[in-house]
Order: sequence, then structure tokens, then C-alpha cells
Amino acid sequence: MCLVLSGCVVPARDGAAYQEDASQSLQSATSAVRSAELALQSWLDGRMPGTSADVVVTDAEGALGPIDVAFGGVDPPSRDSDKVRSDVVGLLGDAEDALAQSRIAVRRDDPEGVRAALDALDKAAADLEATTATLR
Amino acid sequence: MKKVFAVALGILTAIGGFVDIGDLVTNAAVGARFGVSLLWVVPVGVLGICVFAEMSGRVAAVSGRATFDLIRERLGPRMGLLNLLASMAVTFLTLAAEIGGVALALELASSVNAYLWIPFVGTALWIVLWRVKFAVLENAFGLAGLALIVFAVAAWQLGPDWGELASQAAMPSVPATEDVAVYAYYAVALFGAAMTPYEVFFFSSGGVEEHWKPENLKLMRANVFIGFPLGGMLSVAIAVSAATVLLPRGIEVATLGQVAMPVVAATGKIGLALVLLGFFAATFGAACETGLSVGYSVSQYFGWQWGKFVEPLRAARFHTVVLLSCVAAVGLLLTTVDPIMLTEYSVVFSAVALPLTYFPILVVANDRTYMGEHVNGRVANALGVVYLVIVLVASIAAIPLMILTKAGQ
Repeated sequence: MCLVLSGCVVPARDGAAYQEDASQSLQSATSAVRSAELALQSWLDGRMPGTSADVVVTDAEGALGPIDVAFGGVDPPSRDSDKVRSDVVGLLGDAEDALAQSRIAVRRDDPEGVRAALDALDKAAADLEATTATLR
Repeated sequence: MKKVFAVALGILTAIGGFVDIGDLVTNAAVGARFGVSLLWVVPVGVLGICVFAEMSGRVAAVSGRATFDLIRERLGPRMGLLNLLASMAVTFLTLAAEIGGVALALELASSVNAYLWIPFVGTALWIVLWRVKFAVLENAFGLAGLALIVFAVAAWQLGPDWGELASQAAMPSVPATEDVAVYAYYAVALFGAAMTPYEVFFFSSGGVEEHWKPENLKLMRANVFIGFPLGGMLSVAIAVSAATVLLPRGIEVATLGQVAMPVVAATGKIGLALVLLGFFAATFGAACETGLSVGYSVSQYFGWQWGKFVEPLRAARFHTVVLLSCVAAVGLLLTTVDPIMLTEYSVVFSAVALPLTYFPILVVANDRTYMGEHVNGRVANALGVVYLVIVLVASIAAIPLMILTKAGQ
């Protein structure tokens, strides 16, 4: 009941349910990555102070961890689902890396680093969205 | 001139004080996920809160007694106790969510972790509730909450396709990518956020605090029927700006920072400064209202001296309840529960408790013993009954929808 109410990914009954879990995890990750991207772009354009951009990016990075843990904790129901698992776990890892890069850059007040992080975030978000589309 | 000023001040504080953490988060979450297709719930909820706030305000002005005071007397101690427990639980949950909201606003401004702010916010809240006069407290936070008008400015600056938005809002439908149950769950949450029970307890007890008399009814109605709908427009502006900036990017609202991002995108640093001021004022003001509401409801049920219109020493038990609720709310938050998640649950549980709050008000407002010639008329009763049916449906549906949709996942 607690797991259901807290919105955690519950154990998958079959391949379709596993794909649904994967899709939900990817959507949540996309939301976090796009939020960080918007905050970094606003900081770069001088529309947002570093303190607030840092909070948005840190929150986004903090959101990725539970998504990764929750999805990684679900056993794929069959061999066919193994590829879904490896793809999703890989993409979540890439997103986490991009968010960590963003956090470091914004805390350093480093515009070059932020530009590089924005590229990494954009690529991570595009990959997440593309994979979500294939799972539907 | 003095009267005009009083009316204007009342309306402005009603607008600025209308939005709280539940409205901020729920409206932004709904806008980011469903666009404006769920906005029809906002006017339904605002009319509902207007109907029952007017009734409870009228009861306070005519009888000189607040809602809980009369519920126990009119419906008996058992019904009164059930009412007290349900509304207190929801109001306490809302108090914790508001304190969490203040801490999140301070975190956004300072980049210092919200959990470090929570004990300071709880202490500041208790000091304000203990020392600051009722009128100062109500007017200061209500007026500062007007900074949230920046959401309306942002919605304007973002330049969405207003025609398209209007047609979506006028002919609402479940988006193709969403489940009907999830749509219904968010409709219930939005309704619960607009009709939060503490608002009527605070409104009626506030009337007693300010010594309303029947001759104040016009002023009270102006606050309710002009201030609340204009406050509801702020909710609409939050949803529209989220629908314009967050929805196309696939951003779901899970943090207060995400609620602010449309304003940043539209108006930059000045807009962000105003929105942070608005977040702080709205959440701190609502924390004051919920903190006092817990004290009001318990004290009124047990017949203790209550209120800020008397010296704290003469209302010691009331102030003790307020202090304990502040301490307990801080304790709950320091378990590291996510304040935004707490907010999402508090608005849904508000929906569950709605009939227990609003049914007794309708009963008391129809009792000539208390109300004399100011008893409910046909329009008030018709609207009251219609809304009782709506709140009953929302109350019954809330928990099953929460389980079915995994809390709107």
C-alpha cells in the first residue's frame, strides 16, 4: 500500500507491465533533465541567479537517484525484457552523469562548463524521449 | 473614504491570501500535465468555497460564535468529535505542508537545504502566532502574497495561443496520452486544493477575532465574492504558465523550483524575486492560518478560551495547542518527508474530509435559533445542497482514485 501510494515502481507481472514501468521511469527522468536544462539556459541568459539554478539542478539530480534505484530493483520478467533493462539503466546513468556535470558547472559559476553540460543534457533528454517512444 | 479603504484592503488580502502551497503545486502540476483541460475545476472549487465561506462568515457575524463552537452544540459531541478529528488531521497535514513550502521558498532564494530551514521556520511561525496581532498578520501576508500576480504577468509575456487555450478550457477532454482515472484524480486534487477545510474555519474564527457584527456582512461578502474569485484567477495563471512552458518540455511538477520556472522564462530575475516573495508570503500566511485553525478547532470543541483578541495568558490552552502543532509539524517534516509529496496528499485528504466540514455549516446556517432573519435563503441553500453532493462524490472517489492511479502516476 505504501509503495503504491508513494508512486514507487512495483514489481512487474509480465513484459508489458515491465515496459510500462520502464516508460514511466524514462518520463520522470526526462522531466528532471529538461528542468535542469531550462534552469541552466536561464542562468546562461542572465535570467536566473546561480543560487536558484543550483537548487533546480540539484533537485533534478536528486530525483534521478530514486528513479534509478526503483527501476533497477525490478526483476525483468523474461529474457526478452533484459534488453529493455540494459537500455533504460544505461540511459538513466547517462542522465545522472549529465546532471552531475551541470551541478558542478553551475556551482563553479563556469559558463563554458554550463554550455557543455547543456549539450550533454540535451543529448540525454533526446535519448530518453526516443526510447520512451519506442516502448509505447 | 475609510470604508472604501477597508473594502479595498479586505479584497486585496483575500486575493493575496487565497493561494497556498496546495494551490501552487496542484495548479502547476495540472497545467504541466493536462494543459488547461482541467481548468474548469478551478471556478467550480472557487464558487464552492465562496458559498461556504459566506455562510460561515455570516454565522460568525450574526451569532458572534465560530463554526466549531456551534457544531458541537448543534450536532452533539459525537458528531462534533468526528468533525474535529477529521478536520484537525487534514489541517495539521496542511500546516506541515505549508511550513515545508516556506522552507522550500527559502532554499530557492538561498541555496541552503530546506531541511535546515525547517526548525527556524517553525520557531518563527510560533513567535508570529504568539506575538503578532491578528490584523497585522492577516494583512501583511495577504498583501505580500499579491506578488504572485507575477504569474499572470508571466502568462501574458509568454504569449500563448489564447484562442486555442480558451477552446481547450471551454471544451475540456481527457488528453489522448492520459488515463480517465488519472484525470479524475487530479480533478479531485484540484477541487480539494480550492476548497481546503481550514479556509472556512479560519474565515469564521477570524470574523469572531475581528468582532464582526451583522452590519459587517456587506464587507465580508465583498471580500468573499470579489476577493476569492480574483484569487482564483491567480490559480488559473499558475496553470496557464505551466501549460505554456513545462508541458511542451515534458516537465512534471515535483519541486517548488519547477513551479517558478515559467516565471523565470518569461520575466527573468525580477520575476523570480517577486515569485519567491509571493511563495514565502503565501506559504507563511497559510501556515499562520492553519496553525491558528488547529488551535481554534480544538479550543472551540472543548469550550476553552481561544483567539488572539485576548491576552495569551488568558488563552493559555489555545496557545499551547498552537505551539504543539508547530512542534509536531516540524517533527513530521524532519523525518525528511518530501514537502511537495505531503502537499499532494494533503489536498487529496482535504477532499476526503470536505463533507464533514461543509455539512454542519449548512445545518447551522439554516438554524433560526442562531441566525434569526439572516438564515440561509433559497439561493444559498440550493448552492449549498448542490455543493454537498459534489463534495460527497469527491470525498468518496478520492482514496480509490489515489490507489488506482498510484497517486496520479
